[in-house]
Amino acid sequence: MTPSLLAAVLDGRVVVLDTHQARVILLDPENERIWRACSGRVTDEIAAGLGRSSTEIAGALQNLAEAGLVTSEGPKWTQVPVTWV
Amino acid sequence: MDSGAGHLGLTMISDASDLELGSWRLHIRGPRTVRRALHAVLSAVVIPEAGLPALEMAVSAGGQASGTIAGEEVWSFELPKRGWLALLTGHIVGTAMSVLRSLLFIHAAAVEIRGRGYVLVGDPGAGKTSTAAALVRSGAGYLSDEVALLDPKTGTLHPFALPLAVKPWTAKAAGVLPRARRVASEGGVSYLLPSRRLRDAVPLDSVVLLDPTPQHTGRSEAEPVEMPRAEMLLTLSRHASSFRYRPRLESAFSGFVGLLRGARCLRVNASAPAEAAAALGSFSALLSRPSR
Repeated sequence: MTPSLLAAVLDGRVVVLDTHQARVILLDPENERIWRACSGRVTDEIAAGLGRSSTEIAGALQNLAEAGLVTSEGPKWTQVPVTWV
Repeated sequence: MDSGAGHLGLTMISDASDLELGSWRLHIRGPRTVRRALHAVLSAVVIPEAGLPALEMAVSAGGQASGTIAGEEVWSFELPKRGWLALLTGHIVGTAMSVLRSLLFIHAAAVEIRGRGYVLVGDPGAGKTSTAAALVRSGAGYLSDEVALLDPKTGTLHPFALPLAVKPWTAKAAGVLPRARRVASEGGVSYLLPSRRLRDAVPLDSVVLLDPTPQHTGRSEAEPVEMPRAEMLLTLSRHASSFRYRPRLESAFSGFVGLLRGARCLRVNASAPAEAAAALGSFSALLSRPSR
């Protein structure tokens, strides 16, 4: 099933509604940067772009994937599509 | 019509009556004691949304209560000997909230100050009722004790005038209660309908999180501080609100986002409701001063 997300920016912070899990997720600025960098890039590319270690980014990506915000196709990470409110 | 020695300890005559809560109809079949108490407690409640399915509810002389919507039973339980009125009222209000289509709700108290609406959110025991009571006593208009009813299309807060459910500890926490009419009393709870209550919707000004946990801010008194709107949205999603109903998740999210964008979000860290009420009263007075 394709995940279904609604998102909004409030006071500069991204909040996401995960309709399947019926929960609201508030992204902290660091996770938001990582999430926004998930445009079909691999972990090392994302880490290099953000000036962080690959290990740190891999952990954060795993958390974002568990929250249903990103998916991986092979080594490449992409954002789950969202509808902005 | 039938009669019997009731579960609630009274001889009761069973019959039926209708109650119109604005556009929402409630058909109550059951003992007169129950119907009279519900009519009293719900007498000032108006739900301003048309086309909602009616609730058919029945209470047997044995104390079994059930609620049905469009032929489908939505709840059924045995009334306790003490506290049955609060429980029944809670189920009726919960059912009303579950059938809303365009309005949103938050389990919160709500008051009007200088023509603007303030929603008071907080965990159980945070002092929502007591703070609302203290504000109304100081001249605020009463909108609700339990349910903040919001229209995301107009950015307004509607009255939902359930009586203040005053438990002994609420009376203690609120201090002197506002001028009100006692409409019912059951299970140690007095139901007081404040005299100064609003009939019309007001523009939403602020959503206020009452947080009684001690903070070491260095400030000597409670003072409302701005709270990021995203954090408030997260808070609302975790409280009883329209987020609770899955079919309405997306409209609740969009609606609350829109409402919060147009509102102030505040956190009041006060150890006592009177302190929170005083802080909010001073804050709103400050806001209403004409700027130079």
